[in-house]
Amino acid sequence: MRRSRRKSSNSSSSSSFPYTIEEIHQKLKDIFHQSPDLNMVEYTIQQKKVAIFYITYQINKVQLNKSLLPPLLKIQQQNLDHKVILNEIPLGGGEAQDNIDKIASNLIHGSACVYVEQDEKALTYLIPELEQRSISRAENESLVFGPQISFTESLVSNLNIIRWRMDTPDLEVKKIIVGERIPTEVRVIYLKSLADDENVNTVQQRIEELKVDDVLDSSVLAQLIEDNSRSIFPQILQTELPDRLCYALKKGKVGVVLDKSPNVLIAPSTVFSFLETTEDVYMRWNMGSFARILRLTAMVLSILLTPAYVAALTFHYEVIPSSMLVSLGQSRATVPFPPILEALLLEILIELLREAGARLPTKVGQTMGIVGGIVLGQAAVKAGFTSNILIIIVALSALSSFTAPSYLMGTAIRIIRFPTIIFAGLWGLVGMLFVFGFLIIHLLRLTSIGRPYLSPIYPLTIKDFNDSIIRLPATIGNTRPLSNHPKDKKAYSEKKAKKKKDIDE
Amino acid sequence: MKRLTLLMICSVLCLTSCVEKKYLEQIGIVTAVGYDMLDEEGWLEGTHVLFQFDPNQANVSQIITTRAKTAKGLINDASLKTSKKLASGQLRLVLFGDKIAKEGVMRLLDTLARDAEIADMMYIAVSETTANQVLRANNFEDAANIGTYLHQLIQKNIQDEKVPQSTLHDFLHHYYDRSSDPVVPILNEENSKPTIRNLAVFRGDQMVGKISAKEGFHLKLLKDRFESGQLEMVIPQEPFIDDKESDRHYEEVQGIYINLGELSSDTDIQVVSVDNIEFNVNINITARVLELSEAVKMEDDKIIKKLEETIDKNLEQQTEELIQKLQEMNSDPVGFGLKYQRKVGPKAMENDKWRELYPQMKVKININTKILRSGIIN
Repeated sequence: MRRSRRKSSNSSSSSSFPYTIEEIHQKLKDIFHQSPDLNMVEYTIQQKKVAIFYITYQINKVQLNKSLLPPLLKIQQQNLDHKVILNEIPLGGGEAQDNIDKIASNLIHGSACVYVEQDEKALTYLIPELEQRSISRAENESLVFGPQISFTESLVSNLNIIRWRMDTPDLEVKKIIVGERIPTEVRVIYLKSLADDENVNTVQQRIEELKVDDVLDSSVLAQLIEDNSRSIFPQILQTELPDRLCYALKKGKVGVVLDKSPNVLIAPSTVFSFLETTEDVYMRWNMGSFARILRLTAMVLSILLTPAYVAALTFHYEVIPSSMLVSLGQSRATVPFPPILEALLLEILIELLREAGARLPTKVGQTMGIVGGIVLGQAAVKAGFTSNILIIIVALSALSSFTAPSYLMGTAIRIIRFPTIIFAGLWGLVGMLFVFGFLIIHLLRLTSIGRPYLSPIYPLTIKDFNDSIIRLPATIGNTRPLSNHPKDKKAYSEKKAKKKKDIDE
Repeated sequence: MKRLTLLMICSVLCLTSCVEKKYLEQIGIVTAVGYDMLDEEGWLEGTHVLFQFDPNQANVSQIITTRAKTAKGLINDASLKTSKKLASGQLRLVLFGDKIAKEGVMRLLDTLARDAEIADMMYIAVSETTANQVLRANNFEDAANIGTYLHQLIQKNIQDEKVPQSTLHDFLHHYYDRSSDPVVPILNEENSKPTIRNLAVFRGDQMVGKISAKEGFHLKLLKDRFESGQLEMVIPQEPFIDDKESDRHYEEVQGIYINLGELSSDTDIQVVSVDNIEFNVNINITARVLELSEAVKMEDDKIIKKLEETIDKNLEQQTEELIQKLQEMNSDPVGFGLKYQRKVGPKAMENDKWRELYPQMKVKININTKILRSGIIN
């Protein structure tokens, strides 16, 4: 509807430049649907009527009043037209336009339009006022140790940070516009000498070929360009940490920066990259390795513990260690539900707590934790609703899932737990095996922009274990991750890394 | 996707009743079971020690005594006496009464061995009197019930190398192996507390005699190897104590008591002659002296050497005595038959031929002890 009207105005306007001030004002008003925000100021300079149009909140008033208006009003030259003004006003970003639609679009993006009556062209000066959050500490991916800076919603400042961190001409940035109705700028960034061309092309092609109205956020973009949209696992890593992006670029990965979004996409990603933090790199290699293995075990435990409880108590009492038998049995004896219901009940309780905590305002959120964690947990056991051993198990597995540095991955793990519990309650260990078999097959088949998701486990690349599952000291691991197919595989010479240049040598 | 949904629906519909649900709190978990032969012909008495979970009762243990003619019949009879479903997946111990052990235990063990639910690693033991009496003993330390206590008692003593391995697996292995025989601990009740005093020696599945736990040491020496054993023995004081140097009067002392610790051994049994059934057993022992009842000059190498020789002689003699005893019982727990079979081939051992040859077996034992340290202990 809107589009057709614009088209009709388009055809009529192109034919009839020059305008009078009233005419052009009317035209712009039509385009903006009589918006009250379109401002017009009229001056008479050298006997000629000059109008200035702008949208009140889109332009920087200081610039308008200091840099545009004073020189404009002081122009002494006769035969005032756009060329003279362009010449006289000491402001960059001036453009002569003879298309009324283009002018309108420039006004939206924060331009002021100067038009001399009956002139061939109008001038637009880009003096935008961009509202943006100042750069702050990372909230979602918090670190104890290392740089705290995080991306903001502004593409300009994000690119600024990236350039500042990677000041090399090797960093290539490609611009793509996404969204047909509301266009948004996307930048694909990578290191030219490292990133695999195929990866870059895949990412670029997938974004270019998108036919969508708009892209709300980079996480939406990630969902749109993912390999498998049905999977529960995120296949493209999102981060708000500039150092994390740069670390990934340095390994030959491709980054995607989207305007209006504080998260940057990193592809190709493996399942293990969702369990990494940059902190592992900042810490010493042994501590980093420990943290990574801890997180990996936490994920497995998180999926395994509650279903194992359900399976053991429903079917396989044989596997319960005899030392635990009595305490388990005694605490179960008061519970009126079968283990599967008991476990589901408690798991849902925890999920509710988490969800309520996330939705509530921060101040109330803390109270939620106390109410939920202590009061409900205690009361549930006292009332004989659940066994206290299950409370420990559920809390442990919930805690484990929260160790995932990626919020998406943590949520995926938490959700996988539910079908596993149900299958464990239906068929015991057989059911669990069924779910695990299903999961493994699914993970094996999954790809991230065409690269295997389970790498380096499958295809097995022993060298890539460094910096994915564990970390090795610098003297040992000298290759860049081969699963990214970097153009230059060796990061540095291993021989030189091992050489010690002590003073007494 | 369609195929997957179909598979899911099929499996949900078809597999639901495949596995029997056994909710932990609804089952009576049998941890130990005892079998006794009753005086009436063919009747068995079973004693089931089970866990049952009742939130209102602190005592989780219950003992059910039943009568039937088969092992499964005993369980059937037991289920009439409790509200819980009896399950033997956590069975840790089977105890046979003295009478049934002498008649043969295989009729009962066979059912247990073929039951997939029952672990092969459960222990087999024999009661000095009846199984019921031992299982009804009410002093079981801090264990949850008598079954767990007995299991821990036997397990600990096997780890301490005081009792030979006596799991169901081992028992069956020695039973089906034509040329060796099982040995299991005998439990007896002392002041209403079960203890281990003796070991039961089997011929096939019949108990044919007992040896003391002390003799069990020699049996293990022959059969197995020690890693950290312990040994107590008496040696004559004659060559070790110099009367003049000491201020004690040694006329009264009958012998020196010596305790060896951290004893490790390895044994090599060789067939010397097939025709005469002669064996040579070489045993190397290294040990530490933990305790001596009298002051012996341990600094002197000659005395140590003497000491070693005395220990050797002593052990050789005791071990020979044990072998003689076993030969009288016609039971071969050491597995000489196995060595013999390796020499002559399996055919020669058919039809229980080894049972005829075994009493005529001659064994020469050669023990070589080495004392490592005698200083600070532990």
